[in-house]
Amino acid sequence: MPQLVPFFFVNQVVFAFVVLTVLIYALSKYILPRFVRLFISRIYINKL
Amino acid sequence: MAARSAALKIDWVKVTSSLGLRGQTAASLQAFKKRNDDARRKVQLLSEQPQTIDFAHYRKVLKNQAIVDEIENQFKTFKPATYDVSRQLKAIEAFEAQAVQSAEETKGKVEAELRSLEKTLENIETARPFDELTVDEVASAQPEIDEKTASMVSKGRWMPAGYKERFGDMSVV
Amino acid sequence: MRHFNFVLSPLDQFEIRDLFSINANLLGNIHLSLTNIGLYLSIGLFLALSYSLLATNNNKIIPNSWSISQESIYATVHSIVINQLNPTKGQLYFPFIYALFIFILVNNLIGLVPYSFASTSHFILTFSMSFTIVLGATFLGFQKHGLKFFSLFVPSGCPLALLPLLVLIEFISYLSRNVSLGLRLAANILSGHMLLSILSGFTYNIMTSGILFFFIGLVPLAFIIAFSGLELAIAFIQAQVFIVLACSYIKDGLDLH
Repeated sequence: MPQLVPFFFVNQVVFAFVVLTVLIYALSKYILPRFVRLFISRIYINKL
Repeated sequence: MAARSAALKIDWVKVTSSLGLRGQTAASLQAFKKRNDDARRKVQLLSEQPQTIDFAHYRKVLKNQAIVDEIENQFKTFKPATYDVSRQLKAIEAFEAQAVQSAEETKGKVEAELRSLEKTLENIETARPFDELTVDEVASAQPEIDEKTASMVSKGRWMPAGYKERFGDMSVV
Repeated sequence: MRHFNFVLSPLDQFEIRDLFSINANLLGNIHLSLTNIGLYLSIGLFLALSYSLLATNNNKIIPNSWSISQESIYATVHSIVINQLNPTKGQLYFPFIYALFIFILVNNLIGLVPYSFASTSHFILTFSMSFTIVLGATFLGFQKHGLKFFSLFVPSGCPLALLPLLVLIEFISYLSRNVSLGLRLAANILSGHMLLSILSGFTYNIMTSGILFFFIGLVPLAFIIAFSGLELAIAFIQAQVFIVLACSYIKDGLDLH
């Protein structure tokens, strides 16, 4: 079963963790605060 | 008595309605009128009663002359209490001057506020692309939004309070 | 007829191939390579990031449909995190759970594209994620509660006599969390893709056997299409189940239920 070929295990794990780390970093630093900013400005406009 | 006739001539209802008084001022005006009427009625009642005492009659009837003499002395020295109203009048005039001055001040402030509100209204009317309003414009108009975002994110709160009730829950579950 | 010298297996779609490698002899026979799983994971990362960065309607306040879909995903993950974890202090884990959700969802969906590669069907990937998450939750529990963390294994209201047996069972079920979380995701995706591949192989053979069989073969073809729809639903559901369980395990570490 190709899933159980041990030769590429390290490769898979390294790629997976690198991708996940880059995703977490990019999300928490740039993208999710953008949403928070949008929500806060919506509330601010409506709460004049 | 000039005061009495003047009071009679005041038509209280017209005073209330012409000055446009309402609520508390009208109520206190009514109370003042009632007090005036009551006082006048009492004076009238009392004045109908005899104002002097016939001491000779009492001297003949009572045996104790000393007490009659005492009472006669008291009666002679009795004077109705006089009210010095001049001080009250002065206080009223000072109050009136103060009221006029604060009314002018308020008028000035209200006019300034009116002018600034008109300017804001003009701003809103001219720059009105609400469909294309962006978050950046709102944030530049109100820099507090960026600070609030940074503080919320650093504290780990990812949804501002009261958002769901206002705008609806968009989640699929 | 010896047209084929090899047997095409339905497992071939999961084969990891080396696309571009450096066989360097430095650092003791290191083998750096860009495999196809690496390629597809990078494609998934690129898609996830570009979707989040482009679907913002130019930062307008009023959303269009793309923005609404983004906000819907945000609200979904947020409500899951709030309901599973502590509503006040649990939002700290929101970016991590959101990243996990997007990662699993995008990789599942990329795998559904025909002739592409399903990265989440590889057990090592999902096991590494699930082991990391459960180990992290355990560390969290130890850091927060010290040795009282083991009270997690004692369910409330159990008679004292049954205690050793119950603790043993709870301990084993706790250990099996590592495996079950990763195995569930990989097995679902793997089985779906393998079934589709096998059925398609058979249906192809039926439909190429003659004109009558062409029309008979439309029935399994319809089933394959319906099953693809189910696979789409499974892609979403498995991602959601993964993060719900991950949140639940983190909560066990934080609160000792």
